Amino acid sequence: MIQWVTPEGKLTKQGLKHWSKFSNDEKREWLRWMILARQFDRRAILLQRQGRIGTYAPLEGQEAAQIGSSMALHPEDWVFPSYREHGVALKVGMPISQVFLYWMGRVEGCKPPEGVRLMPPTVPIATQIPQAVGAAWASKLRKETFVSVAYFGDGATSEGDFHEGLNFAGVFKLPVIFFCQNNGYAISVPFNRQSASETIAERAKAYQIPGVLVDGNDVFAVRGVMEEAIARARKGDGPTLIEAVTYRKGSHTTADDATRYRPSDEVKEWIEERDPVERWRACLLHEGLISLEEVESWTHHCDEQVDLGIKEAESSTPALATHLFEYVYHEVSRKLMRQKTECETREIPWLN
Amino acid sequence: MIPFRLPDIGEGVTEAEIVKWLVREGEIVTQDQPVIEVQTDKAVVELPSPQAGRICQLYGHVNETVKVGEALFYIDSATHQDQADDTKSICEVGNQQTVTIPHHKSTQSQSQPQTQKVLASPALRKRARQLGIDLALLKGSGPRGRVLQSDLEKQQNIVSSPICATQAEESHDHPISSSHSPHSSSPSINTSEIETIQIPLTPIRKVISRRLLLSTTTKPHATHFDQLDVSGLVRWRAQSTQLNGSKISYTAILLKMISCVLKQYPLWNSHFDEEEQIIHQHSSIHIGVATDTPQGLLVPVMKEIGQKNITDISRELQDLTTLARSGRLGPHQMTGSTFTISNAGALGGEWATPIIQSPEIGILAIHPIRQIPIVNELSELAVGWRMNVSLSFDHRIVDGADAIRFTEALQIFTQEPSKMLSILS
Repeated sequence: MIQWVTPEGKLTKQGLKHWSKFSNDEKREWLRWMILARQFDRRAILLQRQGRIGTYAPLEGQEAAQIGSSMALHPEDWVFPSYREHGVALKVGMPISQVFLYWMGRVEGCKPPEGVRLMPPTVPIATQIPQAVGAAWASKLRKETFVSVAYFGDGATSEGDFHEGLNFAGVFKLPVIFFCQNNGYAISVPFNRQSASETIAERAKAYQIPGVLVDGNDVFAVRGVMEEAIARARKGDGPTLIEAVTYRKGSHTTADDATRYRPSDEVKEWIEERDPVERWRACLLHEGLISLEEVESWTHHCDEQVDLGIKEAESSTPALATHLFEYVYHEVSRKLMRQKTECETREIPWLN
Repeated sequence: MIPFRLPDIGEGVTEAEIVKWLVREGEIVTQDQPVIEVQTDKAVVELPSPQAGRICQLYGHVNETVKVGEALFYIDSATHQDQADDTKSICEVGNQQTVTIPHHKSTQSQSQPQTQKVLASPALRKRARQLGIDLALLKGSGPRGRVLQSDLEKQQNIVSSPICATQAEESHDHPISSSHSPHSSSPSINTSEIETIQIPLTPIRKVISRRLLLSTTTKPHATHFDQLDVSGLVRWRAQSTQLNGSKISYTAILLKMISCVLKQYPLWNSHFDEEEQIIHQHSSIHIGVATDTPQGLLVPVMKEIGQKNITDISRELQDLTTLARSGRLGPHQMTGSTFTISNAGALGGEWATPIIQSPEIGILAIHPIRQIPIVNELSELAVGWRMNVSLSFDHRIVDGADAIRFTEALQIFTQEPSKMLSILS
């Protein structure tokens, strides 16, 4: 497994070798984005508990995998996320308020600002993989330079779409990155019950594409391997499967209770010894690139930004209940029409 | 004042049970400070306050079920003086032990719109009917004048003891509500000495209650008692402990033996469909193990006992018992049993008349393994290992003779565990 920074925040031999590849400013940026993602995430959980957003999928613990990978993207690249990629969404330019709107069940949360090439979060498992492959195929056919990235979890690798996508991309050498955040659990199913193969990365061999196993809690290494994969794709050398080994510190969603299926000593180890934000912070402090005061004031700044985002999202004009009947069928059936009419005429207490 | 309503904290959750209040009425909280812990069928979660301010009213007691959308508490974030003064009367309880009954008039009357129908949940309407209380006469303290459980209780207290209006309500972290009327001068019954405690049934207790009632009222129960020679069982376990260094529970070994009996007499491993009058005989053996837990009797299910060895059964049983005791059993771990045992061995007792788990045919209670005086084959007094069992059965499906055959077959194994070899297929 590729690791450039140890869990204690020390650079490995490989890390030292690659250290000067990235500017100090960028290295600080990584930490800043990770902190923003974390502060956003923690607030989102609280909002859910207050009934201000719907069911939410927490990301805490996966910040390095998300920020490290998305930092390597160009604005022209297309992103196909799953439902946990809020860190990626924020990094590629989705406003905080719109990410909240998505979790409030608003269609506005699916439409990024002009120029941000981010697809809506995909809730069905793995369906975004063939879609990303399709986009990459378009890039190749039209002789464009953009790359597409499919983000998915370990559970998605058990779906047929995963095979179809990787197979097709392998055959046609498409500019697509398959970025898997293996957080060890597909909701409650541990990876060893999900797959007989030791790693996900090793499956790349069967498709004749490079497979990379990287420490997903090491933002530096993730950034590095993603850079190489994207360079290969843009050059026309085809796809890469990256497996970022990470851990979600919390539950699968706010409707889940992870303590029911994860051993507590395992959780403790990941939280106390392998936290991705702590690791990079320790490394930057050690290398003298940042001070504790800066981290603190940045965290404070992030909280304010998140506050603003919430205000903005909550002050947007409420959606009409009849939106439930739009965006799915081009022609609404008579039965649904009746429900829609009822929706318009009846007082619905929970809509106040 | 802003109400905090129970949100849908899961996916499509409609209600939750109050586990614990984390603040007191009148307490100042910061934004996002946890206020209450509630439990859904999936998880226990803390609900944080949406803003900083003073917690004015708490609705609902511990163990009470609250519907999504019902107010849990009111928070007052008012900054200017007059409003603060206004709410003082209901908020100023500080950290005193007694919590005053909120005067709903001051804050509710003007905000309560005129409605023709009294707002209240169906459960509460039913309760009011049972108590003979007219809801229309009550002043609801919930949102839009909704009548809450607490209003009903208050009314009940007033009805039963006229002087208790001045009395302190229980503090918010009290698990049970109490009403106490020391000075009642009621002429008919001398209630002055009686102190009553009202304990609402917990959700688990409600389920237990419903199931037991169904079983005892629809199934003709009969119970067969027997005392089994368990000398072989005790010997075998001692040997295995010596060999492996770790103890295997008697229950685990007995589960295996029972599964062998069920294999011999598969009628006992059936479900009876009363409506269709059909017996569904099962090929797999899943045994429910009634377990005493702090929340009440729970029945985790050991699946596929026929396929498992005793060491695995012992380990799995321990895991399930631990989960049951900590209240973490998943629904799939409590369903699908084809036969049930009730292990009272650790607690004591001689005999029992266990109640069949519908739609099963029988349930076997296992009593302590003891050394008692016996008369041996040489007609001498001796010391022997014995265990009592009580086997309740649905007499429509099996008869007393079947029950005797069942326990006799079990005794063959408890006397000599190696006999299990002979039924290996």
